[in-house]
Amino acid sequence: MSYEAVIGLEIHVELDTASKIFCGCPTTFGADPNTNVCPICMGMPGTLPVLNEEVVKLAIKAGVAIDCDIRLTNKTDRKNYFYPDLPKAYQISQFDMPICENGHVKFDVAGVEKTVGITRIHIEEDPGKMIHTDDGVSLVDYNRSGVALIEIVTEPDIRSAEEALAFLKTVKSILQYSGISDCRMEQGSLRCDANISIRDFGQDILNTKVEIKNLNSFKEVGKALQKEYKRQSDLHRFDEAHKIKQETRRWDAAKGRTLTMRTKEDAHDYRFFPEPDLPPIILEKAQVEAAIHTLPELPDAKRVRFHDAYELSSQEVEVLIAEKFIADYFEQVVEYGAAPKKAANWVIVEGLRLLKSVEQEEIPVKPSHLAKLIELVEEDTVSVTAAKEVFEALVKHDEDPIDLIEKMGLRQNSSADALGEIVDSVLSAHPKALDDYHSGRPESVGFLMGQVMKATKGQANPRMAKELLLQRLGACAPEA
Amino acid sequence: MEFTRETVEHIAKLSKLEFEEDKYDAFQKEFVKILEHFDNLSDVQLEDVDINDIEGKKSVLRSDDVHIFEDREALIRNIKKMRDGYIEIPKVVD
Amino acid sequence: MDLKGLRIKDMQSGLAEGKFTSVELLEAVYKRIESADGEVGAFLSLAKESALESAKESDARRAKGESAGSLDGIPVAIKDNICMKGVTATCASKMLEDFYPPYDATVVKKLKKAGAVIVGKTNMDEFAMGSSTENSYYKKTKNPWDLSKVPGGSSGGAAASVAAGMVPISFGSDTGGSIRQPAAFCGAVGLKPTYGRVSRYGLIAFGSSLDQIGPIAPTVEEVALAFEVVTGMDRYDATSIHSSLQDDFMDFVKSGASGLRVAIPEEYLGAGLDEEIKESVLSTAETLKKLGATVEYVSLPLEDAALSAYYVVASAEASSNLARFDGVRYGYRTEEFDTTDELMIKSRSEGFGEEVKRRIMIGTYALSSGYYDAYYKKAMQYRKSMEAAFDKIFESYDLVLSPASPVLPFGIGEKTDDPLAMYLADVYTVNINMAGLPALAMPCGISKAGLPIGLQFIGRKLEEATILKAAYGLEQALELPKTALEKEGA
Repeated sequence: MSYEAVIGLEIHVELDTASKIFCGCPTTFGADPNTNVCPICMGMPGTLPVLNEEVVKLAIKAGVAIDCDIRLTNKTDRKNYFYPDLPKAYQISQFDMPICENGHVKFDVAGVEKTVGITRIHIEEDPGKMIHTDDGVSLVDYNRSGVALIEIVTEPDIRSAEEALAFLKTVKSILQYSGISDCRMEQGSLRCDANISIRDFGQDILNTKVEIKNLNSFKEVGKALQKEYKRQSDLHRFDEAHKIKQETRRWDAAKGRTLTMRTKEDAHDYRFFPEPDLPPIILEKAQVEAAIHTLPELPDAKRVRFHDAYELSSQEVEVLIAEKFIADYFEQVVEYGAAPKKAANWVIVEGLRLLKSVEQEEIPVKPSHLAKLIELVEEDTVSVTAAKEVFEALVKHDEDPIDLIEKMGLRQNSSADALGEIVDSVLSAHPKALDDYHSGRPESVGFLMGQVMKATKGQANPRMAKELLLQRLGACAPEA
Repeated sequence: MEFTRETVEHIAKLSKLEFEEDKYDAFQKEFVKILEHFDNLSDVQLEDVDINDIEGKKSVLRSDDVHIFEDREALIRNIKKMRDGYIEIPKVVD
Repeated sequence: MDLKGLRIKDMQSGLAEGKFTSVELLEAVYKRIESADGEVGAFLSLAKESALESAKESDARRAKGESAGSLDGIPVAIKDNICMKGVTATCASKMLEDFYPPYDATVVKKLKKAGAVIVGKTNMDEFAMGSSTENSYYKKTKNPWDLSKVPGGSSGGAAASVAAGMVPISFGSDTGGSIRQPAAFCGAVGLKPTYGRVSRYGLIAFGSSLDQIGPIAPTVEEVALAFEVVTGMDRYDATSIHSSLQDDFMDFVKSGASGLRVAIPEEYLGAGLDEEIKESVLSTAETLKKLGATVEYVSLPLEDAALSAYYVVASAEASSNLARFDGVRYGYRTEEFDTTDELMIKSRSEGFGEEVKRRIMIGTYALSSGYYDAYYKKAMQYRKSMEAAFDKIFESYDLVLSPASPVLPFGIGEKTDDPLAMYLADVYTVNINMAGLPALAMPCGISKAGLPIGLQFIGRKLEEATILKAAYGLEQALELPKTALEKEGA
């Protein structure tokens, strides 16, 4: 007997701003501990926050990209709790008047379209980070304290781990496309907590939900949800549903299960009240409209356009639009004259392969060069195999592909006359192979081709060489 | 509302404060006296005014400019215990 | 050099005429502090090194014929909850005994830019919570007019430093009367500006929506001068407002009280007000009339709930503002602890004094789940009605006149057993912070026992100039001694 999973997600996304939300400290990742800090983000006595306008802009953009209503008057509130990574012992967040509400995200799961409602998006500040050592000590770093975040809260519309993952991928894509965040879960710029309860299919009620924290990758989100679903299902099945408590459980990746972290009784009383140090955020419709205009084409629209304009397969389109920079790259290659189908193939296979070996999110070959290379392959100037070598070389050598081809000696010999001569000489050098062929051994063609390629130092246009070879072989068939 | 010993303990917990055993009673009495006085707030007839109304208010925003704090030494000076640039505290168990 | 009777303008001319240097002036100040502060206890720390440097720089400028402004070379004192680099900011608490701010408050920056010589940090009630400066962890400050009496609070040290003739001007902070009441108790002039008029950046927060920094000095002119220097919008304080002073500000201030329409709320003169204070205020009203102002009674009820509303809001904000003191990043850290929780609880419990803990508890309670609506929300709604009540009066009048305190400076130790009684003595001052209005306290008489009696002028938002104008006119007419040093028989 199985149950329906009722899942909601809370996603924290670090906004791509140059400075922190309330002070001028840089937001760069990976700096030495406690170096991207100042009295404000360390919560020193007497300091005051001042809101970064870019944070408001990006929050509006996120809301618009996720189809939300933008609240023209919204405000910040203090969320009070003690924790060493929270320097003021309160987090400036938004409680009852968040900047965005009532949106939705559409995506595909195994070919079926699904919509998840977005309850709200609000802005808040990130706390610092703690590492726990083996010798009984915790180390606190405030570099991250004060980085701007938006929190996206979904309606409990998700029904499986699979849906959760598809949803997360879609949201990541939308936010990356909109330039709101780089959404890197490994770097912590995207974090996710999940809420899950279960019920009988067909029911409308919401049973006790459990919150799960410490999910550090999309994969873990999926695993944790599955595990927690099983835990709750088992309890239901054995009539012990009352043992499901409203609590926060911590996902332990090593142990592969969730563990109680905080019960409802221990739950924080956040004592929200309006932030007295900050005036309300008052927006004009024009600002919202401006945000709509500055939004680039979002994944959904791009998918449809790529389908129609480039006649690519669904699979190809999905890979290309997975990241905006890949889609942009592909289109630039096409703009430089490459046939879409060929360009797609090259980007998907060779381009993504190269990506794995570099640090930044950028295919390290100029789109103009790739387009040229594709053209050269079309013209038979270089074989596909050789072109792949050239492509690799283009990473280090920013030169015209034709020059590289010459330098690397990879120019394909596509002269029918020259090749014909070589084929002839190979044939005369290997009479036995000839005989083998005529006695019905087609594999001798492979041997002869090898010889031709050897003779041409691999530069023979293979297709042409084979054509000529077969021609000659056919031509010198023994008299029947 | 009843200001029981439990209430005082609960509020103390939320405030991360503790009192000596004998102080709880005295504190509770004082607390009660003061809070009972504050109950005169409930006597007042007030319109259900929106405390978040924005009349006469304007947003105050700053531009997204990076500014490095120049005196890290002065910041660090006040930290009691550090290790490798981090602030060191007893292990926090979630 | 005798500092008695030396006003800022006397110091300005003395410096300009080369009668003395800024360094000599500073030496005289420290000498006076050394001889008198053992008794008075106005100062918590002295910034001798940086002060000397500022004085030298001032002299160097003067030698070149340059000037940094009206406070160039003038010694000033600041309350110990205002941050200045290189000197501790203790808020008179054990919690911040060794706290060295890594930055200057905006007000401090402005004072330094104007060439002021900041001589030291003054005593206060711990974290500005109190009305007598008796809640200081370090010492009690005595009223220079009568050393057995309190100087008022929480800016008691700042007011006493001026009244004892140690510095010509000091800066305190006011959340519910903490500049005005001590100014009244010490026979000085103290101004609480309109909320937002002076930057709060660098003022260690107590009640964020109520706090303001303001000047205390023996005369109105000096308070006006100091106000000019520190007022202004600050990009580090999002609650600071953009407003400039009129071009002829000082001339306006000195133009006399004639033509001003003054209202006295009759309820303010009711039961609970000391008779001598009442007489003095009424007598002052007559003086104002003689100066050409109209003075009339109005009805402006003093509701009990107003005081409660203030305490709820102030305590709620304080409970949140003081939560950052947990021993982790700065401040007092308990000696023995096994867990971080212990570190926090013990540091806070050992580092904070009684009154501070009391207010944190009240504030936490007022915000806690289930009580937010009844306390905090109600108090904030009440606030709006307080503003409206004043607005109504200001439709027909320019100023409201009231006593600054219902009681005369009381004896040290007299009120410490009854916190509630202490709160109730703020009845004339808290409404003003709740409404965000500017107000000034100034001397209007001396009691039979020789203690200062003060009154309060309240004005419309941004109309400090009007308040100062009335105060100046009155001051000229009353001719009261400006400091304890100058009192009769001194």
